[in-house]
Amino acid sequence: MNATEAILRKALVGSDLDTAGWARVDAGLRDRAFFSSQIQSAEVLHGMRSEIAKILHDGKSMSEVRRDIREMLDRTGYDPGDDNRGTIKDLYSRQRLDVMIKTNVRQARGYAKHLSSTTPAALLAYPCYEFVRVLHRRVPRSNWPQRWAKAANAVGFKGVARGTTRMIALKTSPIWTTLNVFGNPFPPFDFNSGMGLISVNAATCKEVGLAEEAKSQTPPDVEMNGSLQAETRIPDDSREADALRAAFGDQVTIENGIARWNPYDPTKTFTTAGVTVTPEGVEGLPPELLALVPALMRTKPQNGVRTLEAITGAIMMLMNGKVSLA
Amino acid sequence: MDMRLTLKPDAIKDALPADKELLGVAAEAMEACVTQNLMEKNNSTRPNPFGLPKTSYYGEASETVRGGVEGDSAVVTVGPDGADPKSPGMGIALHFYGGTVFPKKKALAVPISPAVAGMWPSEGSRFGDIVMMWAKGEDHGFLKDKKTNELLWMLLPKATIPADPTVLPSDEKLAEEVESAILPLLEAS
Repeated sequence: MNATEAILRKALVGSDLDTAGWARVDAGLRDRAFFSSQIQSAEVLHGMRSEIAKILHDGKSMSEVRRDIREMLDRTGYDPGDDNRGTIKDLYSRQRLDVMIKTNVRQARGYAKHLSSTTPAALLAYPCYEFVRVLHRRVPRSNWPQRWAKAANAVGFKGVARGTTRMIALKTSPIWTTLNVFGNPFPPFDFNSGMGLISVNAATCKEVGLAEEAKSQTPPDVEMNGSLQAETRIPDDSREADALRAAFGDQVTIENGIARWNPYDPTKTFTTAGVTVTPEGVEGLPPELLALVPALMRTKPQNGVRTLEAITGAIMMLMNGKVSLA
Repeated sequence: MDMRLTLKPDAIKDALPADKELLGVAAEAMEACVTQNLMEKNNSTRPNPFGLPKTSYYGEASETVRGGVEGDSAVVTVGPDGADPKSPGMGIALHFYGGTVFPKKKALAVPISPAVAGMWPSEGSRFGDIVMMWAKGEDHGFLKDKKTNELLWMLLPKATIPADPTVLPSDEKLAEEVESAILPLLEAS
């Protein structure tokens, strides 16, 4: 699977969870979702995901992507509100867009590179990664060595080189997912981090004392080589399952110990901000707008956006006073 | 980086084994070598002459390097994933081979103010009134902020990029990396 596929296969998941809230979602489930803090609109998420994929597939520039996302937000009637305007909570702001774009691009690239770096042949000749600075930062974080030591202790130094200041570990060592705030064994390892990974050959791994452990290393047990299944194991009756249901409603299904994102289905009920749109009609609208629904339900899809998404977007714009049907 | 650069270096063909698994090892070795080279190049870039923040162009490129086996060759690609390898574009290949870049529209726009670092005029125009200054007979112009008169972008009719063979490791270095990865495995078997 390449980086473009990795990002396009993620499920679009809208919610009002902020960054801290998303951080508490199981990493396995979170990895399979395309989301952004406090964005509920599937249309907005769809647009953002498509634009980010163009960086990976077409080499589209960050500047063009930011421009096109802002134009997309204009069309949806997005308004950050006076309190958030210009802050990282403002989807128009460069700060917010860059964090979202760069994080997703690097995760997709990191995932694809991790796939190609953990084949049996790759693990044989280059069994380890070294944690190094890959991207310049004006003010780099200085505490990575301390964070590395803490993570190494947390995993009992399993697969981690000792007696060296170099941050080297076997590619399948649990230190990578422990070190990473996103829970991935590939970059980025934190928001706006410029740290990354470089493969380390067998000779160097031997020098740092990991040759024996490397012998028992096998390719990681994840759904690579094709189908990215949007599911992970969570007990049905757990507090985590309850929290997921409360946050995501019918976007997530948890049964038989497996949690999975449901693909967006335009024939099912779609709820956003208190307005429920079904194939039969709309609930939750003020009476004066309810009368307009029949006309909206006959709206044709535009630019490939599904009818119910377009309708919901149109409803929100009407409610916000951005457009009128007159 | 919007061009896929595929390496099938002739010089190292003799070093490539026929065995498929060892070919995979060779591909990984080439990937590691190219990645390392790009990271070192990223670390040695000079400061921007206009005082703009350092980009990590080669660092970002290093994260797009992929090694793989195609037929009887080990192949390394640098660039966008899933893209049509025949599609034209700029990027790493341009810096390696050199070339001349012509604008898609009227002129190439090079940011010269930190305020527009990493920004194209089509994005920047949202935030202010931008006007063009291009004196007759001059070979370059500028886009400036109408309010503050700050020069934001330099406009050029074209840009020539010199070839830089250090963008990628030499064939000899690639062959050396492949051999050092494969030989211990052959000796152990």
